[in-house]
Amino acid sequence: MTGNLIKAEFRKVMSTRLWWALLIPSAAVAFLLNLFFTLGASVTQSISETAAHVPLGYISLSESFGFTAIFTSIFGALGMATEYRHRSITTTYLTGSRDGVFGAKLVVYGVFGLGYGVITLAFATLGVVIPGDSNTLPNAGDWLLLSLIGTVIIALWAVLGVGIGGFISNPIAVVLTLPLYGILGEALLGGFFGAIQAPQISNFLPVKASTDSVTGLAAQMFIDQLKVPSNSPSVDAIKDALSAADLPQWWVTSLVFLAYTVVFCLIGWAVSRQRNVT
Amino acid sequence: MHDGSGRIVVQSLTKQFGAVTAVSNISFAVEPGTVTGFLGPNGAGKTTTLRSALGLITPTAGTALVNGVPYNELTDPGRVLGAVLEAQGFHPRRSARNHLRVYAAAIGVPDTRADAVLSLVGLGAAGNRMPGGFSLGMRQRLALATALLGDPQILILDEPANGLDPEGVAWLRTFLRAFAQTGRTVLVSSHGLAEVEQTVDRLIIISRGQTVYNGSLADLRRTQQNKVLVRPSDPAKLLEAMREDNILNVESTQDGWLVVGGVVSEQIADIALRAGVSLYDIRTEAPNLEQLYFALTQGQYTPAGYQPQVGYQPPGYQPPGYQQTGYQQPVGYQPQVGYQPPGYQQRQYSEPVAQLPQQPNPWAPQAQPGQPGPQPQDELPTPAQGTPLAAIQHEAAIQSGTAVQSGTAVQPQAQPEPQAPAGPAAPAASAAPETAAPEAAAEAPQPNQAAAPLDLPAAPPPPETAQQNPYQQWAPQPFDPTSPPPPEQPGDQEQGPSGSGGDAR
Repeated sequence: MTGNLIKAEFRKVMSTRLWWALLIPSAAVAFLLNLFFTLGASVTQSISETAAHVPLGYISLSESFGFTAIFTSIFGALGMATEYRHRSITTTYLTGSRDGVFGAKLVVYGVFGLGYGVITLAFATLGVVIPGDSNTLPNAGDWLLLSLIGTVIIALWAVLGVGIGGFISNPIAVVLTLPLYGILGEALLGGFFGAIQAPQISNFLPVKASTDSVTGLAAQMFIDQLKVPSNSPSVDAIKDALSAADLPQWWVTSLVFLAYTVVFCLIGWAVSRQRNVT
Repeated sequence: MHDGSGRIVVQSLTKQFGAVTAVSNISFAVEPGTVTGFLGPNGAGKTTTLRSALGLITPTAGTALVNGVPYNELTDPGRVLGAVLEAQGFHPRRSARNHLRVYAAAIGVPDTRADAVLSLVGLGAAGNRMPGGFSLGMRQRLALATALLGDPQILILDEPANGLDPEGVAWLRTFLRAFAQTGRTVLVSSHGLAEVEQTVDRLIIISRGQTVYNGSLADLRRTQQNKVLVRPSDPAKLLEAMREDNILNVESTQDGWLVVGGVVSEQIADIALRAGVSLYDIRTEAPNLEQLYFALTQGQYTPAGYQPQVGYQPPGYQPPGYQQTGYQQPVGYQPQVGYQPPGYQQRQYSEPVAQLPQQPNPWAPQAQPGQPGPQPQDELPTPAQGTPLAAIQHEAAIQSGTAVQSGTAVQPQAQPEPQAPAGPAAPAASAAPETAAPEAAAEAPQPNQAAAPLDLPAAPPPPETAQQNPYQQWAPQPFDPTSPPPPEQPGDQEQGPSGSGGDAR
């Protein structure tokens, strides 16, 4: 029964254009961001005798996950919201239980989210490899770990998006709300928490918690690669420059983000199973 | 687990949306083996009731059970019940075939079923097209195809005829009857009785959120009595004579007609003879269910004293002072006759006209079960039907300066079934049924101009023919060769210019 619904949801995704219409810009942004960052870095390094060849790929790769997250969350949220928009939710609920449908969506969008993560990561790495040299890329072990964490977080964003679509059933609202919050809303909240002398709280807001899980770890790896003594004042300077100072451990923020995902999914599930479909 | 009975049982169902009570304490049961009509004017609560029965809306009070359990507790809902709730519900950019495959997967039926139902509803060639480009009628068909995917035991349709071309309506009727004859359940809602009168066995009529009739169509007919309409030389004298014979159920109109209830015309003629009154015109009207239906359902969203029949006219159609002509029917109203050609499926146009005198009309429904409030029809311009009345109406129209309209006015829905739903034998003709609107309008029988439609040539293919090619596939087919018997093919039974199927939208 649930298998049938998962198959149905999978077909829903594959039979419309949305999944690649969001994946293409996501991959393109990841590729271009890494490409330009790496190009810019190599130009700087070529004209500056003092600059060592450092693996800046750690930084650009980890930063690009944040953009992928926006596309992926929209993808997940629209998976729910377009059903209301086009009223296919009626047929969907007539052919499967509401709980089953919601669960199937979580599974299917989670899987697609993994795909988003893998593909955008591939393009991001390509963006680093093409202009860079052997020193630009992270070493294989670090790259694998960053990719793994990043991809899981991207998948969680897709799942969280389904939860959001469960209670924001208007696709336009979804498309506006998610990027606005990601780009502007959280910055405003961060400013607010800073103003009330509690800046640490902003580390646990959803977007920051999820991106910091990757960027914080990447910054630490980057510093390790520089072979600077850990008590050197330059470590703090670098961390500040990367906005990675005083971050919680990556696994802490990852767990926080996982909790957000669960909460949003519970809200979306509770709202959508009660909602009258008129 | 459900009991497999095929019954839908609604008990004391109430639904409030905020301050609005959409449905108030409705109870009824829908039995297998029958086509049950679920009628009510717009806003009566039909859709709310149906959606409650399907678990899409949580009722404020009461229960709705399908096969003995709430819909949401059915383990295999798509195989138990199929529903056509609206001509929407499709992603505009997901092809019809893919749409069906999605839900075939959800229900757990093989993908071949998707193509089977596509061709069943006549969309076989449109499978790869996007529903976003579909006409309303094609969407209705796709919705029906979706409902049939799981070969369900129960079929619920909410105003399924909306947007369907006449062939589609005819096919749907046949299909629903055949479906029910296999012992399955059909519940079909409509806002008009005429639309379902030939299809349904039982009727549930709701108005203002409450049930006003629940019983068989035959019983409803029996509640009606004949009316005799007479135009005497001296109304007062005849009235007096009838009073002596204890015939008191008489209404007189301003232009000298008497309308007598519960009698046969012979009685009146005899009385008139005895009283020495000449009769210039006399005719009998048998019960007209549509009128009864209005009487049962009128009043909602209408100001006090408003006459529901007026609503049937195109806005602005009625000239000032129109009603002063007394006993007549609103011009725009009349083509309703074409709405219920008694033998439409096997007959030609002229039939409705021939039937008219026997298609009587009590414009005073009496002793209605659940009749809400007073019966205001006494002063109404009668919506009575009948060829002679058409003449009156015509005359009245001339008096009131509406001759032109009266001659040409055709109720848009006047003729849901022109001739010859083109079967497979007439593919070219059926090429574009839904684009043949002008022809259909022209063909709609105008009761007082009966001969005209027959002279019309077959509809030439409209310009959009190519785009409508998928409809060439449109042909009634057996729903499922193994269970329900193949529906009749109306196309085989009709003659006349085939392929003029039109949609008078």
